Amino acid sequence: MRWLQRFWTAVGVTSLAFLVVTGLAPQRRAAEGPRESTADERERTLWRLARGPLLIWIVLLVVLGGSAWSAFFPLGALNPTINLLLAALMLFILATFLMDLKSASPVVRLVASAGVLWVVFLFTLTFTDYLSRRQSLPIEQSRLTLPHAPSNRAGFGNSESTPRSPP
Amino acid sequence: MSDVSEALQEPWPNLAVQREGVSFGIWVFLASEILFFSALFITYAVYRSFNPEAFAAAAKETELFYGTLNTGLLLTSSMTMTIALRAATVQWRGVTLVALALTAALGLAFLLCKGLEYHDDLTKNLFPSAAFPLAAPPAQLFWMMYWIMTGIHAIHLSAGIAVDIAVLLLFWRRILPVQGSTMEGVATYWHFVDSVWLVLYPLLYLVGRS
Amino acid sequence: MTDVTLPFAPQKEVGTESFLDAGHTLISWLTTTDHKRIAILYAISITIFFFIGGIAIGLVRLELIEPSGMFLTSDGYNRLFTIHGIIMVWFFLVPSIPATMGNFLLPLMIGARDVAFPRLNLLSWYLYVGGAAFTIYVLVAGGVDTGWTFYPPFSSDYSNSHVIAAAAGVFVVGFSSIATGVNFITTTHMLRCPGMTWFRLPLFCWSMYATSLVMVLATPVLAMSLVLIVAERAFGLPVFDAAKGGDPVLFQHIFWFYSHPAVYIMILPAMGVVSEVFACFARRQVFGYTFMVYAMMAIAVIGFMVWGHHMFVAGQSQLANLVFSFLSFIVAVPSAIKVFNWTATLYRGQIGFDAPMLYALGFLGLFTIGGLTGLFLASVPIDIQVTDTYFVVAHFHFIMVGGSVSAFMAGIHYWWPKVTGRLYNEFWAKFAAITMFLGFNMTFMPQFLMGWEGMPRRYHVYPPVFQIWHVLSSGGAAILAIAYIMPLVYLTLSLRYGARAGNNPWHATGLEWQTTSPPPKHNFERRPVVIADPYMYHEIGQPRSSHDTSPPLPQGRQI
Repeated sequence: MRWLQRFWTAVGVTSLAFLVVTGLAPQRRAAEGPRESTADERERTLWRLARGPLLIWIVLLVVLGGSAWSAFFPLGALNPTINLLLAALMLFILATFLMDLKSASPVVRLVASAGVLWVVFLFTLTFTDYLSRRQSLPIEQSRLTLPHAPSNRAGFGNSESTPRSPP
Repeated sequence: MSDVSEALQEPWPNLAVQREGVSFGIWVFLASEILFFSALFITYAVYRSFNPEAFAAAAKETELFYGTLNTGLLLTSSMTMTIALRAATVQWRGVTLVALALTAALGLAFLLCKGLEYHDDLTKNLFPSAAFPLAAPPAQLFWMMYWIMTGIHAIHLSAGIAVDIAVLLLFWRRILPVQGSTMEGVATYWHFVDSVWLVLYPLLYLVGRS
Repeated sequence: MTDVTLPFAPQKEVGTESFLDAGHTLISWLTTTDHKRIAILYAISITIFFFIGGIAIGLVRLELIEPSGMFLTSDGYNRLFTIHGIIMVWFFLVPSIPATMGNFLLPLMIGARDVAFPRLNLLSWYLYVGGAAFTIYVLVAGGVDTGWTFYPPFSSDYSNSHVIAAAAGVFVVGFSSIATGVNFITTTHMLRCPGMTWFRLPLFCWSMYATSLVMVLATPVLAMSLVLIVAERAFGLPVFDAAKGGDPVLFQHIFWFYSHPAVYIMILPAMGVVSEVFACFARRQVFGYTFMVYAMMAIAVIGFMVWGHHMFVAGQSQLANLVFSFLSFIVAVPSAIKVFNWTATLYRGQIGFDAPMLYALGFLGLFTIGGLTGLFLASVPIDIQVTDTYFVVAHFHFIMVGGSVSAFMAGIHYWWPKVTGRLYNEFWAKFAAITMFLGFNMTFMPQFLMGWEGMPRRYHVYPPVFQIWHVLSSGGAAILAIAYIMPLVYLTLSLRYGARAGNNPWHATGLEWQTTSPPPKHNFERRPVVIADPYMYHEIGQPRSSHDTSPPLPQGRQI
């Protein structure tokens, strides 16, 4: 049952975090319109255009490398945790800086959070079932040999894993 | 500014509201896409939580090199897509077109690597069947998830590439002006496809490595 | 920086050319981006499928008159009730009010020229048609026999029917839903006219918004559940294969995560429609507008957390059963609040028993009965007794047919003059409404009784002790069938022979009534400005007659 408590705590913290992220942050600027520029200005502008994304790209690659590197250390339950946390970090960086969520209107941020919040509903309630079943198994793997009706599943030799008796 | 008036579409009262509307609409669509992939994530999560050793043994057989390379390619493509969007916002057609082309190329490179990786996987019989190399039956569950998750992701990526190329052509032929609302929608969708991969990568490639 | 603004008033003089006159060719209809035309395309499509699904269940009800069957094989029987469910849920109920009335009315009610993404709107109809094509193929090729719920391992491994085609059809039509949802949410956020604040929106608009939220967030999960079934069936992948450690109950979790919110997709629009009808025909403000709004949003959100009540006997843990049961009781509260508020709206009103009102009153009673029996089913021990019996069948038909279809009919009749510019025959409309109510009760009341006594659902043959209930039910179904054909006749005739309707035959508030019947292509000659809350009926009083041509009455004025 401690599983469940940890799970609910994680869910609560995640939900709070997303609500906080949604609420904080500046309002959207007015949409930029077209501007004319000279060749000189264009050169400077290309660097200014690409500078931000380039920096974010390097950061993301570093985090990616760190995540892959950490996978080779035997850290037990910490391995997937670190990997998923770093993935979440990469997602956050991508969403905030490359997808411009940081300067989007609060409603857009709310929409993004809503998608994630609904995933939390799905996971929470589904695992409420699975984590509280008696044997902690989704289904008891039957040791009985049951007679199989002819299966209509596509054949890649799929039904050979359990012995069949004639129908 | 005749370009600008061509960008305005029915029923929007002005371009600023249109841009915001398109951005908003794409994000609502992305919320649905998040839920679409989440059904796969919950399946993976349930099966992995009950078969950790089998999943670890099965995941060791994935090709970490291809997986990491592909992640790098997609991250780079997100960078080029952002550059395309920023260039489009300042009406810099040339850079927009080049950046869009680069993005599409990187996406295609991903698909190519994926294809090579699939070939390697099939050569090793890593498709759930009688010839599956690993003994524990739940290992086949992992590989079932691998094929379905990467397959659906590849379909989404292909759609993104197709839209990228279509928009590239529309801009090139001046049928659409670059500073309209289209670019933002395309970019947002592309980043989403990248984001999905960022979640898939640790789930499929970093399990059981230690 | 100058923003280019599209003038709302058209550049050239168009007079009162309605949207129906803007192009008479088939191509102009099939390539339209006008939300009103798309609504009509949807209306024709869903009506066709309603009758196909109705014929399927008509055959079933005919067969059930005899305990040992008459003319169907058991296999044929299974295929008929399955296709009835698939068609009625996905090709009639889910699109019904949103895709027809929502599409037509949402932009009008908020004072916009069209929905946010008109071409996406057209695409959503073509997606419906694509999904429909798969379903027609399934019908012609022999059907599918898994039940509309597609449970594995039967659907993935053992069924000898066209599961993949059926799943593909539902998958495609699901994206039609999602597209509509994205469109409506964006439209409501972005295109409200000046003065139309969120809490001045008519309740129908709120219901479209809440429904769209559910469509966008729930439907993708269904889509993936079907992909997984197809993956198992077509590619042999062990998705829900117990022999490999897979879990068929996991499919049920994923499937019902959509399919329970789906029933809220089916009822929330109905609630929106009846709110409009009650206000108009009781000549009263809707009682407790704010609570009505919050109740709808609460239903939409909490509705995502109750899906396990479909799985009480599937093998869920006791804790899960408890949690889902508790949440299912909670979700009934906002629905009950709405029923109380509708009743309070009627209280001391000046009730006019026009056809839309008859349907709405039918909704009120039948939805209440359906909802109360839902509470029975939310209780785990009672549910275990009546699971997979006709009690459940009766419960959901009271909600979906007694509730949603009644409201659909109410809406069709209420807005018919606006859409077509014609009035239908009031006598036949009332006659059909009453016939429908009586036929419905005769069909489904016996089903509660026999379900309680243990008559299982989806059974082709049954013990003779239940025959009397089946005969009553089938008799009621025959009456219901006649009642459904009647509107088809008199509404179609009204297109040719009906009296011309004025702009506002019901003297209703709401922006849709401030424009012509039928509306012009871009909805309003000049952009409306909203100056009042909705449902200001107390300031208008009783209309003098339906042909009264006195000036339009506000929620807003066109300036």
